[in-house]
Amino acid sequence: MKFIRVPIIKTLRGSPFQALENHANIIRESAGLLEEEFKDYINEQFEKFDDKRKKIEELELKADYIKSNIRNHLPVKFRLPIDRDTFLSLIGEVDKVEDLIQDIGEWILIREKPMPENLKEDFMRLFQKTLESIRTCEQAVDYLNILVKSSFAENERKKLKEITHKLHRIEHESDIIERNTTRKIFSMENEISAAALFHLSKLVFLFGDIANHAENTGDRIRALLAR
Amino acid sequence: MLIIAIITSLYMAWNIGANDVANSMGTSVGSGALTLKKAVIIAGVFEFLGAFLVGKHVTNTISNGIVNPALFELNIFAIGMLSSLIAASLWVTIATYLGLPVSTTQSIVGAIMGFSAVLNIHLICWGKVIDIVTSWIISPLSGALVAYIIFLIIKKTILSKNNPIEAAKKTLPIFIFFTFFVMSMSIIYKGLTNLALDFGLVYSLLISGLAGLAAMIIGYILLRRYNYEYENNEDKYNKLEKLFIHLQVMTACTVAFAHGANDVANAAGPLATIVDIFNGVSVSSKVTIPLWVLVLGGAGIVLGISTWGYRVISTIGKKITEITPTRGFSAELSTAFIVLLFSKLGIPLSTSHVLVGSVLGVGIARGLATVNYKVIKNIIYSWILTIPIAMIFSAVIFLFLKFLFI
Repeated sequence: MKFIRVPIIKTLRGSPFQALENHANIIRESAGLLEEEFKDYINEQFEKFDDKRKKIEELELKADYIKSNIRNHLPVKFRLPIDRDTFLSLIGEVDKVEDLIQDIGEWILIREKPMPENLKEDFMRLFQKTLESIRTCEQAVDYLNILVKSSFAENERKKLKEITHKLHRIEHESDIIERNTTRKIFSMENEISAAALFHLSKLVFLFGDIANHAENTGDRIRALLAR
Repeated sequence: MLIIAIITSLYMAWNIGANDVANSMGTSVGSGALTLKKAVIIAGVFEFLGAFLVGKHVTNTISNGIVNPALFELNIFAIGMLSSLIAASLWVTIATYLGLPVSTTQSIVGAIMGFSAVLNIHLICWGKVIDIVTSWIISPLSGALVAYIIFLIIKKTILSKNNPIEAAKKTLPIFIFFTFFVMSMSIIYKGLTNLALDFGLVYSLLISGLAGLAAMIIGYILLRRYNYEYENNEDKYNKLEKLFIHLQVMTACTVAFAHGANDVANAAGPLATIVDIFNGVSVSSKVTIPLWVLVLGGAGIVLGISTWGYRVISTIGKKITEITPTRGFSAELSTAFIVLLFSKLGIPLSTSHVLVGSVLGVGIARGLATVNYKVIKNIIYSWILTIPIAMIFSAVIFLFLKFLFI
């Protein structure tokens, strides 16, 4: 940088939207790993867990680093084309999704006991819904980037708004599955141990929480879009 | 003394080429529109053409607009101009080392004021100086405004359409027309006296219009040949950026041309005066500008680009990849327009600052992901600092040289 005096160089900095997209890619990768881990759990292949758990942990650290990097490199003097505070809380919500993926990975591992046969189907359904909410959340983040590229074109704005509506719908559907599954677990309270009841019902809660935070992500994005 | 003047003037031109050229080419290299080698060659050609064809208006202002040569003893005036060159070069070198975004233009204007102030503060043509300083404030603002409007037009007519690529093919010929019109107008209207050609306003408008039209038709045909099919929404904007790459190269050339036209004066202006005095031309209100002085200035700039400028261009290119071709096109077209306009009016201004203004203008139109407004503060500091420091440097050097020569 010595002997360079071009003020334009100080005017711009890397796009935080691109960084957010990188974060979303990490979520995509960990969600894939979680899917494998969860299938192993359902199929009672507990010995396969450990390396996946470790990989998810590494990814979570990487995502955390991206998150703080975005925060540290957005001083107040930098103007974004959108509201800065809402954008920062959007990052928080997206990162929460990644945190929960890691939490679930760890929580499954804490109690290596087979799942009662008649709950498996419900859990698979709940898990599929969670995956759907994660994917839609990524899609929303990716689309935010397209919106910036198009300089907030109206038609792209509408499409992004539709994605956020979809996140709402998924959260609602996930809620219903969550309630039914919990009810079913408690209806079996005499057949299963108290430990199993606690472990399974918390698992349900964690899955449901992912959909909640994915929905929050959508809400933050909608707040960014509001004119 | 003439030799010292030529060397300093060359150094000044080298400095202009080495650093400021990155303004025109940095974004194009950053977006991958041009390879570094091509950028250096194109910059060299267009800087030289700008300096040679349009450079004399501002050169005239520098050599006799800021102070009135008729009020000086000739040899004292020559020493003064030499001191200004040395002082401005010195300050620009120090500031560059410190990484301050100072402008060569502002340094030379300050330096010329400096040596005159030592003799008599009333020798400075305050009216002209106020014009120049005001234009330093107006030019980035108008750059921002024009860039804002251009980007808004692109947004409304291209980006917000369902098929932006098809929309671009319709709108872009108009931009091509505008660019070529401005460029040829700046060359033809009162411009070709170097080549003993002088057209009136009407003919100039007519010829420029024809040049623009020709470019527009060629552009239209070339654009029609591009067939960018896109797969999804993200791809759509990436392909659009690719289409704009060609136009960004065009505006980059225009900025290089405009920069040559405006900034060659910083090196050539004082030298032209000194050469005239040595040739015994009676320096009255009108300095004749020997063509070889402009050629020398242009050559110095080209030398600067090829010896150091390419490093600055590649550094900048890596740093500002945020400026995609659509954004770069808007900012550069605006910069070129403003700089050429002021060059024709004979007002020396800082291309870097206009470019920053233009980029901020695109940012205000929500075209950029992040914009650092702190840079405005840096620029204002450089305004406040440069004039007094260049004045002091020039005054001290002047007194020393006067003692030495007389």
